Amino acid sequence: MIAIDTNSLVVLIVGLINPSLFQSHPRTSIYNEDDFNDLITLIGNLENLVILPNVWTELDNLLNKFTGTLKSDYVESVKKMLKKSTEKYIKSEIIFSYENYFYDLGFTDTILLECSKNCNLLITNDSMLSDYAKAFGIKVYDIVEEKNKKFRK
Amino acid sequence: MKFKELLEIATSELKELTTVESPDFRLEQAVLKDTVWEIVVSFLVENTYKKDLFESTNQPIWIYDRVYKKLKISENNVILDGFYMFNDR
Repeated sequence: MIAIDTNSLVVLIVGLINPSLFQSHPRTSIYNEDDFNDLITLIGNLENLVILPNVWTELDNLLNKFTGTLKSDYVESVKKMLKKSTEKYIKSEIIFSYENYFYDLGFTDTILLECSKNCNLLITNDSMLSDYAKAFGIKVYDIVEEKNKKFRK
Repeated sequence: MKFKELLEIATSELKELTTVESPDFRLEQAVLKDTVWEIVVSFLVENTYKKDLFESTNQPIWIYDRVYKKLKISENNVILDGFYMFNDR
């Protein structure tokens, strides 16, 4: 099972809608269709994904501003993803076990750390979350790191 | 201007701000507005106070902070003066 954070899910959903949209948002501005294809290849089957309700909420806050046909495409992509992936709920009080990290990471990413301990991989587009996850010995696919490796070549 | 160049310019400008041997400079965002690139880079700095904080727990000790900096770079590779705030959380 693969845990995925909000920013990575943004890349996934935006890529499913239309990769040319990446440049239209600062959070996805350095990515392109190749990065989206790499992500799809890594995930394999969408059924492999574990998505927290916290992540779904953050995603919708970021992407629900589409209008017209893009809005329809967004809704259809989310519906497809919801049907295929697994949603996992973890009580917010878990942050008390991570008090020192919560200060930097906030609710969603702290809970994601806990979730990732029981997954095979964490996909993240958040460099700070990646740092902490690696410190915990969690296997991480760090989209920012991979992108920076590509354009350093 | 390619992303690699932007990262190199930013790294050159900011490297004195960290004492970490491998600060892991990364380009996080890059948006072209008219003729100016607005970019966000991140890198690691050491926070030795964290060691005291984490030693009382049995969790991994991570003594670094990741710092995010926003810069504006002209198409002539010039970093524009200014102090820009960035908060992705």
